[in-house]
Amino acid sequence: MIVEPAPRGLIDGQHITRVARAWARAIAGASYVPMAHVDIELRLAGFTTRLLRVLTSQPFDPSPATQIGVELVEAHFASPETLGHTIGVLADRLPPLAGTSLDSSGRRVMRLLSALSVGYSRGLRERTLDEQESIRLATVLAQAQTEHALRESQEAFRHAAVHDQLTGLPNRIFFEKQLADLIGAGSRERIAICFVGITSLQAITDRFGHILGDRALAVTADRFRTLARSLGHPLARFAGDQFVMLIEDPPDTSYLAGVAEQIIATLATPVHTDRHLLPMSASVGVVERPVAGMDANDLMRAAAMTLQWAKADGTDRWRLFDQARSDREIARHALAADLALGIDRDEFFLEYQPLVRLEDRAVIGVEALVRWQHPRLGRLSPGRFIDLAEESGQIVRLGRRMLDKACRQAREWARLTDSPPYVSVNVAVQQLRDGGSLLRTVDNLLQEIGLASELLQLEITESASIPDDPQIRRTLDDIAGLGVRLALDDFGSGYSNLGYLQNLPVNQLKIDMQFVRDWKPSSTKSLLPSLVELAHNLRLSALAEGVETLEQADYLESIGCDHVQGYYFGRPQAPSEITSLLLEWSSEEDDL
Amino acid sequence: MNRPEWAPPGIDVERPSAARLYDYFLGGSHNFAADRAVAQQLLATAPDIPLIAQANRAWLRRAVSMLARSGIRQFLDIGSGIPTLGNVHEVAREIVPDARVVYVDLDPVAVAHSSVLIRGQEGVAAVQGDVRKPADILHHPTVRGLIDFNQPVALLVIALLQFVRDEDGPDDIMRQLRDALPSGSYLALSHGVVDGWRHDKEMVKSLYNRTTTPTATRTRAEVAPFFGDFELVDPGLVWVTQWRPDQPSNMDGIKAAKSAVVAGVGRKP
Repeated sequence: MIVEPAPRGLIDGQHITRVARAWARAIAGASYVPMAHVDIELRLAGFTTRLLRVLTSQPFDPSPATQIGVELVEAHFASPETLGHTIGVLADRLPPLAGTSLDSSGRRVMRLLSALSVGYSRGLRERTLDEQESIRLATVLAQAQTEHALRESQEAFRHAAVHDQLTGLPNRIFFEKQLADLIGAGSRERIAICFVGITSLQAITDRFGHILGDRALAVTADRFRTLARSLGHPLARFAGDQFVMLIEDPPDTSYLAGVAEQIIATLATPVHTDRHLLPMSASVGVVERPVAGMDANDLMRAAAMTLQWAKADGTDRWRLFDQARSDREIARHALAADLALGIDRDEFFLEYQPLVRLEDRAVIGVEALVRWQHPRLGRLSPGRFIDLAEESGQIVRLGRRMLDKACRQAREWARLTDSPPYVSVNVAVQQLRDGGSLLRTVDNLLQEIGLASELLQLEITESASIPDDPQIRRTLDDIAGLGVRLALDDFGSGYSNLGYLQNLPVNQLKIDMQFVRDWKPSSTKSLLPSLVELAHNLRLSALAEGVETLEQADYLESIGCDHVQGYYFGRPQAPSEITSLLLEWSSEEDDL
Repeated sequence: MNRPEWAPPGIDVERPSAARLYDYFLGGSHNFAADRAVAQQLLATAPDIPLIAQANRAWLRRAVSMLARSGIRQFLDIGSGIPTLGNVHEVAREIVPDARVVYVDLDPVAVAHSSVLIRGQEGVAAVQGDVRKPADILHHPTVRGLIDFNQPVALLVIALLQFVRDEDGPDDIMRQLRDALPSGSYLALSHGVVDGWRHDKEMVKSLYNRTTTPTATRTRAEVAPFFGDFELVDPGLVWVTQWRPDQPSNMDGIKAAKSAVVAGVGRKP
């Protein structure tokens, strides 16, 4: 604290201290001054000294008091009240110290205080303006910081929402938005998508766990990212092990093929992580379409479908979307959806194909063959829907329905004729696996309808699973135990473990039609005689399927085949036609 | 306006703030029309609020000087407000030139203003923080960067807790803050109380409720527990003007503050 000495010889320090003390007392509480009281008094003493110097100046010039007024404010003696109290104290205390006549010193003090007031007001105004400016600056600054923080948090939030944590790549949400924007903007003519599936990932995860699987995926993503950057195409992690690259206005299909091949090639080197060298492989589905009228969902569905095709082709393959194939698969899918409804609505019916004994060409049985009267597509053959029914598990329900129909039909024929044909019904492996339900169904049906068990035959397809599945074996044994016939269908076309044949409770081998079709009168290499002999050696009857000519029939008879089935002896036909056939036959028999 | 939960608090200069009101009462111009409108209504109800504010500010200066002289080199000032005159780092550094000071305030404008004021000064920082989330303050990287919680700290809670309502758990807040300090640390705390309030309490309360921080009304007896097991230094928890006064009577000020603010300094054993 600088205290200026009072002008010597004029006024002694005691006077000044007294004035300063009175001044301090007068302005106490008028403004906040960040000083201890003793310092305030010292400071005011300094101002008092300077004011006296101005007051006693020769010639008298009050102007320096203006600066003192400014400094008072700067020293935080700053409020309208402070000025008022200051003028009050100084007007009272200064004149006696001026050393001139009281009259003239009164005037001098007034001029001095007026100069002081000017400076003080100026200072106060400056201070107010400065403070207003500083608080506004602070507000702007705070607003900017707040906005920045808000943007950052929004940005972080947005980034986290649309990016994948593991790979740092944009995620599916981001990609779908990007695609939608691109379609909406209409600035591109065509868009292509490379839909990538890491086919090796599941095996890695299964073997080494998710942590290593994730690492392998992250490395893979890095390689893809590098490629995508060099090609300039956006890349996203679509889901799990799926990535998607977006190609705007691809020059041609061969370019896309190149991209797909490069994607696959990035995985040629195994991923090295945690002491493991992990071989990676990918499949790529490529779809390219015009932007106009594009449906993003449809595009992605096509891409996913194409990826499935590529996967089905083997590892490290890519496929281009094929509209015709897609249409077929979509139609197939739609048909699968219709199937359950069709069963409910009883759209399935049976046709029967005669099974003929070669010896006397008598119809000794009929095979029931399922048809679907589809409300929109018309009549469908089993080739169109049996696979679908097996895939969806509807085969069990459909099989039971058809078995019911067939048994009722067999009972009807049994009433019509003395030597009724047995009805042979196809049974799917799934039906055999379905616990004892097939056995119960058959047993109940026979009893309910009153059908002799030997008039029912079940045809099972030669299959790898039958001999090894004890449950199926038991079911077959039990059904055979009811007296129901069993035939092995399509024999020779599939899996052939001849060893199990002797243990199956089968009555008949139905020799696959390909053997008959391949037979030529000149041929010496036919397997037909061996197959017939095999059946006989196992004490089974042999039936040849697909007999279309008399020549074939005669040949089969010559090698001792017992029964035949085929167009030559009758196409699959409506029950009524079979009825007529049976009636004809029985009347001929009567004629004999 | 629906502001998402994760968004930082915004700035609304149309809403009066306690920090800017305090500045106004200290004679400052760091305030806006909305602040002055409320301030003038407050003055109409309680004309001696400026005296109370000055007394509180003067006590802050005395308390910080005393703490600096006691050897404290680090100050954490929560609810520092708009820095005007006689700021903690200025007062402390008169005695401890390298004293470290962190100012914390809820009001982003106050924080921005402080930041400008202390720009370029080593060992001084201003951060935004809410005393109702003490852990956030204690773990703020700037706070951690400047203040060594293994060395004694002076925690300043000056005229702040009257803006923390009971439902915000001031006892728990203070316990957490005290617990974070090592032995030998100090708590300097002042608090507006209603014991001897001569003005319209409800009016003042309702006016302050227009600010971003509504007030809580407490008595002197309710303030004492905020010190926990800290040992109050002489003269204890007293009217703010009675705490080691250094200036002779300004009777109005003394009378006013006597009925409005209690203050004390406690030392952690």
